[in-house]
Amino acid sequence: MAAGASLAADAPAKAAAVSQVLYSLSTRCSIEGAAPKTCVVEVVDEGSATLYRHRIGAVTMTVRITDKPVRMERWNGAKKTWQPLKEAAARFSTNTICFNGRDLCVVNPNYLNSVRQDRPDATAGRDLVMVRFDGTGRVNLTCYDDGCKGVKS
Amino acid sequence: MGGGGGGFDRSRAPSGFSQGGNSFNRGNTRPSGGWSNRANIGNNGGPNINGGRFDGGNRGQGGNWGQAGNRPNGNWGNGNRFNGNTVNVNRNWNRVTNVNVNAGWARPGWGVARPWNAGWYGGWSSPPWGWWAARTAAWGITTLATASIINNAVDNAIAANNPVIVVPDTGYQLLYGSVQPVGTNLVSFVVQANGSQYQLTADCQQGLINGQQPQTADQAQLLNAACQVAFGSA
Repeated sequence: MAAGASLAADAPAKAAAVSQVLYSLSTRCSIEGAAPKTCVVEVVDEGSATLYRHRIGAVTMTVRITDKPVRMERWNGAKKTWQPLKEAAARFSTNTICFNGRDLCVVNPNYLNSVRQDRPDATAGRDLVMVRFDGTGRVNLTCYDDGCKGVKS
Repeated sequence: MGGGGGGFDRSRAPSGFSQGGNSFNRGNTRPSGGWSNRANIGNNGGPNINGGRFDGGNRGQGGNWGQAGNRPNGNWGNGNRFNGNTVNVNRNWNRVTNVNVNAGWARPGWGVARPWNAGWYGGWSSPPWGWWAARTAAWGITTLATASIINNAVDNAIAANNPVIVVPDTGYQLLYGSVQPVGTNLVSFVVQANGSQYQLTADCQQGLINGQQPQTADQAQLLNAACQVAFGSA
């Protein structure tokens, strides 16, 4: 994501009929490694995908996550398309999830609580989890904790 | 009740291969305790992907990375102290099975992961429980376990993938992941005693357990531990 990328807040809101706001979270976000700023994350369940709208001041960055298999995409407001992410990482102990390296990092305990509870076997005893996506958006690498040290960004 | 690891099936430990790519989901499943609307930022001031509290090797207790699932009607061993003596169980304690021990917040960073934004607990003396002075004089105790002791017990249990903590100086085992607030003063939780599990409530403000004053010092410790896990600083 480019610095300060402004993703149209309403573009990806073309919601399905089953769209439901799960929660709105007041938290802190960081764009491209910059100092954290207050932000609000609005999370919408669209039936087959979950939208995460991160509103940081005038900037809105939207990430769409599907599962079975897991895919993560960002909304490109200029091109009006969803673009697959290259990488996502989460650190449970700090409630942090980052998308595409440090392009967007957010404190979101709700997401991690949901993941932890839904994936107890895969996440038990884990702190750092990172996934890489191939060009089609499929996961092609998962690493945990010290195992991620050998993974080049 | 047997201690020392009973209840874990190490042969079922995840290989990793079958679960690659399943570490994340789309985050739409409502976790125990519900959705928070205000994140507890903690000491980092914002997102922090590099330095977790568990960096530096504070991982696991003796390599116990077994799998924790639901184990109805059974005991969670923990390799910790319990001398096998029967512990007190009140008549109004309701036995339960199929307890969910995989609460999403019960993980590294649990103190800031707790999704509820209400509730406060300053210990048995702040404000003082009405029964404290008379009862504890009879029991011959002056304090209960500190927040630090309880927090460390939870940290260590999480690192060891153990769903219970031994309530300090008692034979009770608290399934810490079962702890949930009910409003700002009450907490519900499950305790394991004498081989059974019981669903209880605690009033952290009044110092009551299932609506009654604790009958023993052990029950006071249990009350204190549940309130600390739910509402205490961590």
